[in-house]
Amino acid sequence: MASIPGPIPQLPASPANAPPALGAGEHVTARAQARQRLAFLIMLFPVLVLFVLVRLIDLAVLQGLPEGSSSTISAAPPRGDIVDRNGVELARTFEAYAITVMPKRLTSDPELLATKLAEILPEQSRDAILEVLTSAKSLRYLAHRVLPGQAQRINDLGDPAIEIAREAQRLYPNYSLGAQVLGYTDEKGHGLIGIERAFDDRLADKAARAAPLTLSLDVRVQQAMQYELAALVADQNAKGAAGVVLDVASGEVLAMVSLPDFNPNVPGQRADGTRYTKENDDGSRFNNVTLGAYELGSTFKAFTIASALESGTLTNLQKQYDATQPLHVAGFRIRDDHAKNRWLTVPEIFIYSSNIGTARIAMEVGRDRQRAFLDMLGFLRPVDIELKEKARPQFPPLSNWGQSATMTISYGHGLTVTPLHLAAGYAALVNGGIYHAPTLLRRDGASAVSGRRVVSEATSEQIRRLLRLVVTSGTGRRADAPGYRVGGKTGTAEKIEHGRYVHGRNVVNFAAAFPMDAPRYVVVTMIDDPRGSKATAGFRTAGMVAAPAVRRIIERIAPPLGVAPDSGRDLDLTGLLPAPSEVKE
Amino acid sequence: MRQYFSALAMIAVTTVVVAGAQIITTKAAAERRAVTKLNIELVETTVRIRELEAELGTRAGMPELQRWNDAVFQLSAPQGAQILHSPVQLAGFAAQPDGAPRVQFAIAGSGLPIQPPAAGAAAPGAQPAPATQAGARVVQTSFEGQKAPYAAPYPANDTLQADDLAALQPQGGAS
Repeated sequence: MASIPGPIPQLPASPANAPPALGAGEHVTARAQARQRLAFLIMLFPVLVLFVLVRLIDLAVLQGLPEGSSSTISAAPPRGDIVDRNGVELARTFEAYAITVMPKRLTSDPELLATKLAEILPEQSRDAILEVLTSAKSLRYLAHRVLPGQAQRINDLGDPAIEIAREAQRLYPNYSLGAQVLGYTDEKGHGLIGIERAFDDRLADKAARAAPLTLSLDVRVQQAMQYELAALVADQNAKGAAGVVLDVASGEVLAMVSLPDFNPNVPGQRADGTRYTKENDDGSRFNNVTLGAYELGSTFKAFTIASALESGTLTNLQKQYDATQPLHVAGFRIRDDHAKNRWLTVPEIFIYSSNIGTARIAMEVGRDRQRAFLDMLGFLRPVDIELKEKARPQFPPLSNWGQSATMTISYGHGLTVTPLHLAAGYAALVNGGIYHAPTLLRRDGASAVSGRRVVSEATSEQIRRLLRLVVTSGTGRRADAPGYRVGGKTGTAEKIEHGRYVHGRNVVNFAAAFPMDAPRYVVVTMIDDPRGSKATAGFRTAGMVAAPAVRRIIERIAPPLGVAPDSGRDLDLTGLLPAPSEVKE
Repeated sequence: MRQYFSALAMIAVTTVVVAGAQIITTKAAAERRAVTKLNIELVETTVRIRELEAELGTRAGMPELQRWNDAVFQLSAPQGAQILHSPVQLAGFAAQPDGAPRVQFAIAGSGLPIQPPAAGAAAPGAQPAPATQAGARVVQTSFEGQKAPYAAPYPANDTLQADDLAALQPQGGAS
């Protein structure tokens, strides 16, 4: 292969082994071959260079940036933000300062260093810091979430064993606002409860986390409800409260409040600064709205009347039912708290909250239709929402769902559901009859929201009139926010603890909607064990405790939600009552 | 000889092409480094913006605003009757036959008790924006050419101007 151009050296002739001598023509042929090979080699170099060039262009232009360069430099947070429906941030991840110490490498006197550090970190005691500094472990965290100024001062101490690191921390700027809904994460950034848990994959996904997760919540509504309910809990010395505001047209949850609450920025710490233990857990991380199942009392009467209207057993609201004396069924006595001891029309049964009348309506509807109606409203299964923390409703099995169960369930006893069940059910009753599964994600207004019809438009209109009547003339008068055409129903039930009724302890609630001539929002509030106060004249009923809170909430949330008050508009309630009716609490 | 020049030319061309490719590569690498540096600066700026947003969001969060309102502003939600639906309704406040003013402002923090409008002067639905706390201050304004009684010692002139509102800021502390 490697032929050398030029004259071929003469080799000594060997008569036995020497190759045969070449003639002149043969010499010329060998030289030409050598030149051809050389030319081929010379041409090969540009081809190789061209190949390299093409490859370079391919890498630089066609394939763009080298793999990995876009992922190493990115402004995307390590975990996605959570924002409310208007873009207000509810949770975000930011790089905070953390202080670590390697005790074995300390060059300063631990006692002296602990004193200095305690001055910089006032939230930690000197003894606790000294314990970290003298630890036998190779690395200990001295503090998380240190302010930049504090980090600088610690750095100025100059001990090489103390290192300042940046670490991702989850921040909830609104503190306890919607704490149970938002939830919190563990130290590794995994969601433990609430939205953080339900959307853990979405928030941690490398591609999706650049865009914030937009919830249906509205911080203005959430703040108004949480503030008013907290004030009510304090006034009533109640054990807790729950509240939810629902858009009746889409099922979007605008506010979800559960009290007591906690600060998700320090989830392991109680409001009084002590650490949570199994013994002192006050239940503040428990979401009463989705995880708490309660007998919600008379607010269920609206469903009983709706089922009667739908089934055809009730065709005229002026039909009268015997409420002259208590009912005795299977050893139970059904009586009225506001007993009229006479025959009552349906509107009277509703505004006087007659258990006897409602039980008689339910008996006409029958067990099967009652059960089917409640099932259609989703009351016999966990509420359909994104959160993982959901209670399973408690109700008698079909074999034990007899006459007495039919009667008691008609006025909200013998069946436990969550406040969110109640809100979704009321939304379906007042919005024209369409059930929308509640959601914590903002729905695009342009897209049609799917739902299922549970009652007819005519039944929905009748229920709206009855609910408005309760607020104008019944037990819910203290919920009447002027101009906002509020309708609703009170509910009071004995509390259940460990499967038994607790005498003297009530769960009161109020399910409201506004404006009733064209309902837009449902507001449900529930107070756990109110004790009465001067403001309620010692009463602990829903009409005295929950209804005024609903009025204050509606007056606060209606303007930002764009609901204009109009004292000149209202539902036509004529014909429901024979004469103006006054009801005493 | 010609063959030697041809080979030399080939080598020269190859050298030029390789050198050119090297220059392009070096230039591209420099540009890429500049882009990377710019990207890093962008990310650092974005992170800084996020930090500032976090601080702003925390300081201006709803609980903080609520605390400010409870302690200082003491404003309450408007009542339904305070919200008008048309300019005609608004003009109606100024066109009362008795000439009494109808527009009122609620200004917080004076420590003065709420004083109702003069008897017979206020039309139904024209109540002052009520602060639920008794310490809220109500200042009545008048329209041009009309005299109006003031519920608070300010302002000195008849018509309340924007500057007067600024002068009525709380003198300090919660009331």
